[in-house]
Amino acid sequence: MSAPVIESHLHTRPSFDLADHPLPTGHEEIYRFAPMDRLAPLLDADADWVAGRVDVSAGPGVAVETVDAVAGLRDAGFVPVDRPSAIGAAMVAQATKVTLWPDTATPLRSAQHDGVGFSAQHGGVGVSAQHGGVGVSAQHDGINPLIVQPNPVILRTVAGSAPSSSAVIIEATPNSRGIVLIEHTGPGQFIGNMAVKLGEGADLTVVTLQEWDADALHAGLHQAVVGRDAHLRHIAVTFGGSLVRLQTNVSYDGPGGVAELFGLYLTDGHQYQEHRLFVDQNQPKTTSRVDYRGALQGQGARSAWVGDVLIRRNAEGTDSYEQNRNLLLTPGCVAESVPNLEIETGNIVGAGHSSATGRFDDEQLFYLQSRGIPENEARRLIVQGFFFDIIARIGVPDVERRLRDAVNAELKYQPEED
Amino acid sequence: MATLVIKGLTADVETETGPKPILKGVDLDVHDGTVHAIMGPNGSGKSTLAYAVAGHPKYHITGGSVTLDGVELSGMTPDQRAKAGLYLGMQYPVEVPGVSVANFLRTAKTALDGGVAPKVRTWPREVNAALARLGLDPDFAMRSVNEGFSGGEKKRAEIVQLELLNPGFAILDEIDSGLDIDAVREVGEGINRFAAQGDRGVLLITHYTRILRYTVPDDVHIFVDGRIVEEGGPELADRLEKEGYERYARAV
Ligand SMILES: Nc1ncnc2c1ncn2[C@@H]1O[C@H](COP(=O)(O)OP(=O)(O)O)[C@@H](O)[C@H]1O
Ligand SMILES: [Mg+2]
Repeated sequence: MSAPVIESHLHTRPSFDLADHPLPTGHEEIYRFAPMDRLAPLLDADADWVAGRVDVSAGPGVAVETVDAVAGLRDAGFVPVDRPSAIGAAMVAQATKVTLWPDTATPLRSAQHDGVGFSAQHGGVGVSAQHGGVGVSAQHDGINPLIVQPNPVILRTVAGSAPSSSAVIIEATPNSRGIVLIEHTGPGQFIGNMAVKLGEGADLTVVTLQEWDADALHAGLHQAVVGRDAHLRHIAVTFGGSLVRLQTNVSYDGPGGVAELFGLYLTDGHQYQEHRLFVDQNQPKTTSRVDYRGALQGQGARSAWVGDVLIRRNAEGTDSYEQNRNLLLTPGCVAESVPNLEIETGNIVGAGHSSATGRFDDEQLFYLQSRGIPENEARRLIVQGFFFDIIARIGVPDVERRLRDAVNAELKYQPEED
Repeated sequence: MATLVIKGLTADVETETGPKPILKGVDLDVHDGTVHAIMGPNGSGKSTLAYAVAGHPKYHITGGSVTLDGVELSGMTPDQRAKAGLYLGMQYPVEVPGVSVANFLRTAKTALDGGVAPKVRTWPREVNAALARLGLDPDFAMRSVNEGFSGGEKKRAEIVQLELLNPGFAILDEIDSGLDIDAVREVGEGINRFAAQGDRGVLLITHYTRILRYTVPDDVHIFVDGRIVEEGGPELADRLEKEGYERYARAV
């Protein structure tokens, strides 16, 4: 299939050609919030980029293979939209492709599900696949759990301390169901390109966890194409890193598709975390929900959320809503929040947005304290609740549990408030 | 023992245009084992009294004293006051999204008991029993604190907390407003169970007399324009029922 051509004034023309993505000055719309000095290494096409290693653990019903990066990404509807994603695509020859099959279909590699610790190198890119190995969570109601881990820590071991990039393609074939968890940990400079393609009636949950070390830099582009009557849940969880800039784009390949895009971020004083979303309601009767929550703490903590929704002329009967809420836990934090809605047809079910950034609610704090809960503990409960509230909307119990644990672990190690 | 003594209390509320004096010298003694009612017209400062005693950050004590069993409360943080034995059932219980009732109660109980968590074996059963006594489904334990509760459910939940946290002294601010007649009875019975322990004190703030049919006060104080203007027994409430607050309003 061909990539959707975006004629929105908010978006640059997608292209694999690096020349179409010149070095930005920082005044461009898409870079207006980013600290350009800190972003610079991810804009540098002359650096010695190496292919990041991607470890994959997968259960039955899932095929893992290596494909030509550009062809594979293109095939899945992915085209770079900014300089980091173009650099990533240019520097990586091969992509890790993960294909989810419905329970009844024959998985590509079913014959090789014969033991623990199966591992294979694909074309020297450093892909290892483990079937039945560590990290595979239990099967439940026909869902194939899958953990994909582009892990720069492993990359450093393999390729030395070079900036790395990886390309991942997730294809949920028609009527397949699955959960994909992507964990980013460790130090480094990383560009992650990911294409997600949902066939007709597929149901896919993609969770991307940014649990980087404090000095890591990460630019990511996730582009998803949602097929007819398919259901995508994309959940971005950003806790770590010095700079994380994640662009998530969604378009549709037929009517009836649903995209739910959730995010949570906890931005500390030394961090810049940016989440950009673009939902292209390019098909009739499609639905999107965007809901991102951020909590910021410490002098100099900065976050940016930019949510764009484009409702095309032909896309009648669409229903979209986007929301961003930020909680400023201490003085000295800045949360940018920009919802954009472009509507080319009025013949829709709904289109709305809301954005709110505020301090702690004194009434909530007082209520908890009046029951004997000390202020620090009350604050922690409120922040936990702020995140748990959105986690509870995901509707996938395994994922909800995993994310509640991640939030708890993160809040436990909160630095002292200043 | 739980005796609340308020002497010459004056307090401001923080408004957008600066502090506004509301309490103009309140004197009140509520001994343990007794239930007192404060009745007064809307806007007379009843909630301000409750908030000032409990330590709400928007309500500042500017003079006088509040002691619980001889311990001065003003200057304490709200959680310290709770640990001293005070409980405030609020007129408008606050919604805390994402914090489950069960987690909230366990955290509060642990804090009040000096860091000792309630017993895993018995506590959930106690929570369920307390919910059931107030006519609330066990599901409420898993819901976010007050979020999406009806007005009546919020008030019932305040009494559930009262029973489970079992403080020495309870101030209940308009606990009966927004309740249908069955709920008023169930809430009244909950307050009676609490008071029947014998050594607890209750200050019941109300605008109407109907809760007093279930929880009969030992003393009634009429509150107008930031101070107590008349005191008496339960018969005072009956008279209010017939005559309303108009006499007092004129007297001001
Ligand atoms: N947060 C507030 N901001 C501004 N004014 C307030 C606030 N709280 C109370 N007041 C004012 O203080 C007075 C007393 O209010 P309140 O104590 O709530 O009375 P009651 O509970 O008796 O109805 C009223 O005039 C009310 O408008
Ligand atoms: Mg009131």
